[in-house]
Formats: sequence, C-alpha cells, structure tokens
Amino acid sequence: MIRRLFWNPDWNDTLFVVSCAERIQENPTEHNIAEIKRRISEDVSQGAFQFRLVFVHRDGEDIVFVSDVFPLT
Amino acid sequence: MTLEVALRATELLLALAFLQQSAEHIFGHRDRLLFAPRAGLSLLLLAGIHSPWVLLALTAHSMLILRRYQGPYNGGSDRMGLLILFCLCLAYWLPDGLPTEAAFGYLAVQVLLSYLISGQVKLANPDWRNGRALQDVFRFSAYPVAESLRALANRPRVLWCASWVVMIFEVLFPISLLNLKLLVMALIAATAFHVANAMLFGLNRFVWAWIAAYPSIIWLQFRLFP
Repeated sequence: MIRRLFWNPDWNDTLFVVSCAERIQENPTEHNIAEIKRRISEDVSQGAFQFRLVFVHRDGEDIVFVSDVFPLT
Repeated sequence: MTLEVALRATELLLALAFLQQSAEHIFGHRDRLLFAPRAGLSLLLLAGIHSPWVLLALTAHSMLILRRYQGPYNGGSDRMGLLILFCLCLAYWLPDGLPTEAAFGYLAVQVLLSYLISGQVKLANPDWRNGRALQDVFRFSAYPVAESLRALANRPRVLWCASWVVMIFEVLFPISLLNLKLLVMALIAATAFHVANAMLFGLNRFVWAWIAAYPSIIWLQFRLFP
C-alpha cells in the first residue's frame, strides 16, 4: 500500500480510462474513443473487437455506448 | 513563514509531485517522450536553477499535456498541479509586493475553497448525509483498489460516520486559518485524508499535489494573523 503512494501507473491509467468513459457518456469524441480503443487493442492479438460502456448503479445498469467494430491490422 | 521561504517550499514540493507523475509515465511506458521534458524541467526547479524561466517552460509544456489528453489526465490532481504552477509562475513574474502576494494568496484561497466547497456540496446531498453516497462508491464505482474493499459497502454505520467526519472536516477546514497550531493540525488531518484516499482508491497523485499547495496556506496564515 505504501508503494502505491509513489508508484501507481497502471491504476492511474485505469482512472484515465474511466474519465474517457465518462466523457464519452457526456459527449462521444474521436479522441476518447481512440484512447479506449488503443488500450484494448494492446490486449487483443487477432481478429476484430468492439467495446461497450456499461454504467452500473443502484437500480441496475445502462449500456451508454457501443463502439464500432475495429479490425486489428 | 516568509513569502520567499513559502515560494521555495512550494517550488520544491511541486517539482517532486511532477517528478512522481513523470516517473509513472516514463517508467510505466505511457507517453514517456511527452513527460521526459517535464521531468527534466522539474529537476531544474528542484535545483533552483533559473526558476522563473523553468516555471514558464513548465507552464508552456503543460499546455501540450492538456492538448494530448484533451483535458487533465488525472482529474483533480492535474488541476491542482496546474493551479500551483500558474500561481507560482505569476508570483515570480509579477512585480514584487502586492501583485506577488496576490498571486500566491490566490493559491491559498483556492486550496481552502477546495475543501470548503467539496464539503458544502456533500452536505447539500441527502445521499451523503445518510451515508449512501459512500456506499455507492464502494459498491459500484471503479475506484476501490481491491475487490475486497467493496465489502465495506455492507458497513452502513461505518460509512455514515466516515461521511460525516469528512463533511464536517471539509466545511470547517477554513476556520483553521485563524490559528497556526490549529492549521498545522488541520493540514496533518488533511494529509491523512488524502493518504487514505490513495490507499483505498489509488488516488496517489492527489496526495503530492495537495501537499505542494500547503506552504501557501501556512504563508497566508502568517500574513493575515502575524
């Protein structure tokens, strides 16, 4: 836990992705979609992918955004 | 605390905060080229070499970072870092005397307001007053650093108490400006609050950004109540 005070890059990047998701919910922009797309594509090796944003709350969950399908090159 | 000492302390703490952020990018392999200049400039600031020019360069470079992420990368901590940077820059480049004091005092007032307004907004929200907002944070938000922490959502009394401690502390924080000992205690408590947020929610950059602004409040206390 103490280490996290000084070094927490992956978590901070996750928080940035959360910010991008919130920005997309308010107003989808190419930039924010590209940020999430870039991070997913780093973990997907072949084929194509699509992502959706699901916001969870007390009364259930809402799908707030569904992306295009992105082929991997 | 004299203005010169407070400015230098703020400079040092801001440089360390920027170095911590830059290190996460450079060694965490995210936009390392963008953050390498910030790290270099922060080292110069730490050494106190041509501080006014270094602050100006850091300000210009911050515009590039804002453009890269289309806003702050790390929300409030980036905003606080920028506020400190801009106020320090103004304090150095404005004529000595009242203009410098006004620029640095503005930073102190903003930090005081950051607690006051945050507390006021929470107090006005019924979900914060009954502890449900904090339950939602643990149950639904992306913030808890470990899944095991989500079990805290099932401790409503603990979270109700925590909510009220946070709200009362935040709205009363500006009163601590009246007395130096009280202010020091409030700053220690505030630091503990930010450290707890770092432990529970991974908000480590907030700790260093807010601490960097504390010398301005201590200076303002000396200035207003000598």
